[in-house]
Amino acid sequence: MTKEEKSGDLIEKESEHRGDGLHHAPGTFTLTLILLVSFVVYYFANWKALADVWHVR
Amino acid sequence: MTTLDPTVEGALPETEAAGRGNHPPGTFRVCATTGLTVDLAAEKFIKINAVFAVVFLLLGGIAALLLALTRWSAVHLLNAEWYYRMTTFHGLNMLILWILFMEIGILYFAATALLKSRLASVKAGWAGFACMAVGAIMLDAVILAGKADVMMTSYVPLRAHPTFYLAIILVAVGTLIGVINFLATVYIAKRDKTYSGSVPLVVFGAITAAIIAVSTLLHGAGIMIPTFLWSIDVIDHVDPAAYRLVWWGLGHQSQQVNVAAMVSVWYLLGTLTVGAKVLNQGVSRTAFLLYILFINLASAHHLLVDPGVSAGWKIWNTSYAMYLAVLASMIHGYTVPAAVEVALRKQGHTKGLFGWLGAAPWKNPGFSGFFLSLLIFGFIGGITGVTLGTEQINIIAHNTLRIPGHFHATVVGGTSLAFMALAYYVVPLIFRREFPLRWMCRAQPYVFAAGIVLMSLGMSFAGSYGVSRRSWDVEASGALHPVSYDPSVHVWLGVLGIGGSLAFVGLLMFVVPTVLAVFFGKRVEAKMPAW
Amino acid sequence: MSESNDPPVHWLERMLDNTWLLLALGVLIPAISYTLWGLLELANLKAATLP
Ligand code: HEM
Ligand SMILES: [Cu+2]
Repeated sequence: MTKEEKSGDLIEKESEHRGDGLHHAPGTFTLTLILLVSFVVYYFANWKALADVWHVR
Repeated sequence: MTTLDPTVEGALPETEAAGRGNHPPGTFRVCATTGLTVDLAAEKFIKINAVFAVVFLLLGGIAALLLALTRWSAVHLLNAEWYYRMTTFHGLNMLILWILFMEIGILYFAATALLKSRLASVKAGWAGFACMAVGAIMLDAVILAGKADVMMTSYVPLRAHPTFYLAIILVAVGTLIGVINFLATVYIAKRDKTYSGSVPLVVFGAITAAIIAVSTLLHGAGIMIPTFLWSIDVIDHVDPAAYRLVWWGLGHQSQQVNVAAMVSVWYLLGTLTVGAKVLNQGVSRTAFLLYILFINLASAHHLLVDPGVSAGWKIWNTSYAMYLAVLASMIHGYTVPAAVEVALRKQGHTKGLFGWLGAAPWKNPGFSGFFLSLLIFGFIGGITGVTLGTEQINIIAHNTLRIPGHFHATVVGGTSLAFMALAYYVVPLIFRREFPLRWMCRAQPYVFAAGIVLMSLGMSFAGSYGVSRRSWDVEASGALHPVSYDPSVHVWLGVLGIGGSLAFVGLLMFVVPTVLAVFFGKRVEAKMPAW
Repeated sequence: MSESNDPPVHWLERMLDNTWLLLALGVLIPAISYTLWGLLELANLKAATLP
């Protein structure tokens, strides 16, 4: 933040600031994709583990 | 709003005071660093709540080290009796006392400083604090006296000394008084028009936490009062299945208070450390709304293997409804780092995908603690949580070490680390003391995070092989049916022990500078020294 | 604050600004979906027959 702008003011003014609509955050987007992939792998591994111990015939 | 830059804090001329919310003259100061108005009564409560919180964190931490060294099978430090006693002590000191004292401090801060309001009632503030403090001391005393080895869940028909239940009721009532005082402050701020439009997002998050807390505490009263009466033989029976159901309305919902409070702290620290601005108010607020409406239903995941409740009840509450709350966490998990990224890119750190991340203020423990908290909560806590909460998968994980492996990533690597990061701002801004040992503060979030991640992995892997939680004797020696585990289990229990010990070091690296700063630190004159 | 030239406030925003409505919903929804429903199921369990 610019040193002149006090963080307290930012927090207070925040509710008037509605957001810019569009924003550019490709790094965060990549992080979320990594999270998604990790989740899919982990979730699948758990269903596999369940299938290994719990046979359905 | 005009920007004031007063030279003498707390001594504003009356004319300027008029523009400062509903504070009577002489009852507030203006923070030279943030420009926020700090209500002096609220400030006192924030201080004593924070001090108590850190004391209980230390007590719970000592028990944590003993537990980690007991679950490390090569060390196996405590005997069985003290293992269960310390498990009870650790769970309650950490999950209830450290967290609740911290949260009341955060609520008081949000409603007063961020809304430019006075505290609704100073008397209620004292009454609530007194109940909590007396209850907390009673609770620790009765556990250490060996009269309440019932674990924090105190499932009936396990029976503790009546003081134990009474102490929990006192803590709950005190917290409820604090929460009501917070809501009343939000009410008078609106009545007195100390702000225009909607409350700031951080306050909205705090309101979310408070609402969930009301539901939590009602369940707490609903179950602890009958159990207390049973412990003094006034009623002769508490149904174990109903106990578990209502108790988890307390035990799980309180975790959702933590989530809401932690997310609010993330937004606050994003602003304080890199000047991040909320990307979209509507999206973030709607995500909090989803918490309010749906997150508490997830309590049912604790009863996924209980025989009494139907599959319909289990699946509706843990799957359909809960995923709406998971959606909310994913929204915050995107908007918070994205706001940080946008802010850093605006400051010129635009190189590649992650140039902004490299340029972030990693030496500022307020930032590193906050960002590590976000990563640990999202990647480890979130992924394991959604998986364990799936009705079918739960059957292979229930009551194994995978469960503490999950929640040490949420409530410790997530919430507790975020609260520690917050303390790196609370001490200079509210206590107005400088931190000594600044190198230790800078390293602390990394040490603590590394320790917790290691321990969480050790627990999760040992648990995957079937090692039970809350169990002193992993091998179940002398059991009719001998138990045998894959030998690698002991390696993972070693990882648990080493990670736990490292986390304990990280905890001390937080407690020592904080205590030194609060009691012996150099006074912060005017502006807080930048991290 | 109801100047006539203000743009109409979206219903979701009005809901988000209404702390008391949120409090009521936040307490009622889990009380019904989790607690009441669950307790009703437990109350209607038949006693197990002895083996
Ligand atoms: C230095 C940090 C910590 C270490 C090394 C640690 C270690 C442990 C260990 C070894 C257990 C016992 C697992 C078992 O045998 O079943 C445990 C349980 C637990 N811990 Fe921690 N912990 C730490 C911090 C925390 C914090 C900060 C919280 C809460 C905010 C917390 C909440 C709990 C809870 C609720 C339990 C379960 C107790 C029970 O089963 O009744 N821990 N912890
Ligand atoms: Cu839970």
